[in-house]
Amino acid sequence: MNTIAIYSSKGGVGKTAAAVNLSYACARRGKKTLLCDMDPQGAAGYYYRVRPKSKFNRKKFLKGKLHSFIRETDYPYLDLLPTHFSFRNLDLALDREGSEELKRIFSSLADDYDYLILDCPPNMTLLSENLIMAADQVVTPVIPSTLSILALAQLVKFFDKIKADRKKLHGFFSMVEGRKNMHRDTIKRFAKKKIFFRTMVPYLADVEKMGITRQPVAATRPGSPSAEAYDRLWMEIWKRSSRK
Amino acid sequence: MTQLKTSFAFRSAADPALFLEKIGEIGVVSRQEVQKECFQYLDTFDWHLYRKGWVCMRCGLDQYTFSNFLGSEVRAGTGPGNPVPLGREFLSTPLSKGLKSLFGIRSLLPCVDVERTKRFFLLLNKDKKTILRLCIEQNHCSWDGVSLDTGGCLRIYGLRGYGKSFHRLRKILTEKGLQEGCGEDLFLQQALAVRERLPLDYSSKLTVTLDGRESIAEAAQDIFLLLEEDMARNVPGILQDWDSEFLHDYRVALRRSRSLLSTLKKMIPETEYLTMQEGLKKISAITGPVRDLDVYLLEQESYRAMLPRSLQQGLKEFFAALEASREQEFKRLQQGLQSPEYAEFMDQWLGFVRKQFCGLTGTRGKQPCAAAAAKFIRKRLEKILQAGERIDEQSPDEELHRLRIQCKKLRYLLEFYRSLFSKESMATCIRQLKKLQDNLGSFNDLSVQQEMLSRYHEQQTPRSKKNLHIAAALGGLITHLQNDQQKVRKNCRKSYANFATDKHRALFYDMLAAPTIQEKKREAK
Repeated sequence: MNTIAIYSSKGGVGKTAAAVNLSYACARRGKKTLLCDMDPQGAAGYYYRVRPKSKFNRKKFLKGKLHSFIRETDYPYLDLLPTHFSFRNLDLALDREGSEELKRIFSSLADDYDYLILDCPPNMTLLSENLIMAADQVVTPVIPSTLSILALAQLVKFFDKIKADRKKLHGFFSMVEGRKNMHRDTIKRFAKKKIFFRTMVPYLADVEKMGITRQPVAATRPGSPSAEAYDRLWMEIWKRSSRK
Repeated sequence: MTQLKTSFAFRSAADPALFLEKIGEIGVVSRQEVQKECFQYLDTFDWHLYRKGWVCMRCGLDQYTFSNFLGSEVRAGTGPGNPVPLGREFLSTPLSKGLKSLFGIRSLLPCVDVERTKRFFLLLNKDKKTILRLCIEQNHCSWDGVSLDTGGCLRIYGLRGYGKSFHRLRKILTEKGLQEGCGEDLFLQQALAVRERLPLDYSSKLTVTLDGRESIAEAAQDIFLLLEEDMARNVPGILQDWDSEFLHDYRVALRRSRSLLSTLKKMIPETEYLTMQEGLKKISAITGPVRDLDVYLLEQESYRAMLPRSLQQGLKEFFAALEASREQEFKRLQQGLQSPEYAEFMDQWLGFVRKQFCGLTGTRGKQPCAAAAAKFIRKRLEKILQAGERIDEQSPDEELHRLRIQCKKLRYLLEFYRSLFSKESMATCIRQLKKLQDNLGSFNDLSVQQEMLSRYHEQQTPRSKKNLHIAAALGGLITHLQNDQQKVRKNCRKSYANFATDKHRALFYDMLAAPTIQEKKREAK
């Protein structure tokens, strides 16, 4: 089983949209996929119309009893572990060795799934640190702007500080607006850096409309530029994961 | 991750509407696509697949699906393309992997044509999230110009994490009295209604249930009618040459009829007896040659294994010649079974069988069948015991042959009247007799085979290379068979001794002396 964390310390960069659409692209290729919503805001569950079961909470998660709380989405090979409001305090329960605990919890799913995709909360807490440590790959969306590039540089430093393997960190340009000079210039300067995937996800209404359709873009607009972009991005991630 | 799934059967066309109404109680039903599948059910004439718990479906010319009743094991793929494939033709395809016992010498016959409509539905919650997947399957079956809606089922597939909705719907439907759980066997059973048939409606085993109080004449009529039906049901298969077992089963029923007729000889007016016996004998003569050739052709593999590679060419040519003879003999058989003489005699035979008590008008015919049957069996058993005591390793072939015939006659009697005696004792007696019969049968088969091969061998003139090849192969086979026969002969005495132990004799006599099953039931009442 491959664990891929979709992470960014900044909010509103298209992280949940990426987690939702990448998990769909993965399942479409016949891989048994579990999207794990670790963000207490629960947007991933909302997009897939999956509510958590009433008895699910942080304690149950930490005990590793995930199986009975996983719910099937409307799409083949794709399940979802919904978040719970109590997840906001998950870092309080995890110490510095929490990544081992998370690895143990996730390893109980290894027989059922090929890919585990984590939609991480937008912060730099102990939970984020542990999720980064527990994941095989960390994928971070980067808006082509100065602040986002700075945030990426911070994240690289953070990796070094927590002694995480820098090679497992990759970024992709998200919410790209070709008409903006800053986006064009940033992409020109940084796109060829090794840390970036070649695929860029454009800023399009389809992705925003996911909040209304509550479905991945490829389910409502198959073949649309955004759907194609997520699919290509998934192929890049998949190639790296199979090199592991 | 085991998926929650179940099914509910329905019989009437109105049922699906009822299902949808009930389903609507727990969510919003969203209609999805509709699919149609056309296929045929196939099975052997004697329901070999069904007996083993399997159903075969064929889509188009050669796309087969073999499924066990529960649908938990399924094999699908390309198989033989002929309309009536032989079981052994599947052995070279991946379909037979792990299922070799399903495929024998019988052919798979189309049973009924099915058009299955699958209507898919989703059940959605208030978030419009799918909580159950549903499929209503309806079967429309047809055969020979007759067609019928034969029923179908509702399949329910639960989604992980939404077990509550699954169990709720299941409870609602169960409380409505709908039958839960339906496999392909149920659909096959329903589909056969179009032919007014049922699975397992034919078996080569004779099953006759007699009442001990009925007269020997009435019992005879019951048995003769069953045997006549068996013969008639096998004729189409013989004429179409679907597989060799139609003729085999036909001849077994014929031999049983002849044997019973000769048992009742003294109770039937002489002229009538002679006419019937003569007629049955003629049919035996018409059907014999093809069966004899079939026996050899079915044994091709074992013959091949007996000979070294150098003699295989001759054997191949020998079998090619047998195939050619079979073709000729088969034409004669077809003509025989379709001749006016055959039809006339069968009418006469049916008239004789249907006539009040088969014409057994004397006082002997009126005696209760249980007592008479015990007498017949005892008499036959004693003949075997007398003949058996005389055999040893030097006994001439004819004596062993006579003993084999006596055993066969006893076996038929036991099978005709088995319902009158203790089930357990009868099963043991038949088992013991069968062991002896197997030994004597092998001896006889080897003897007949050698005679036939020798005759064929003598006819070969050394004019061509081909004839020389055949003669060499036959010589090799005869030597092999002679050796085998010597081994079997040595066992004959031992087999008889095992059969005729004091314990087994006592078992026979006690069974025959004990009150019949029906008598016991009457006493209990």
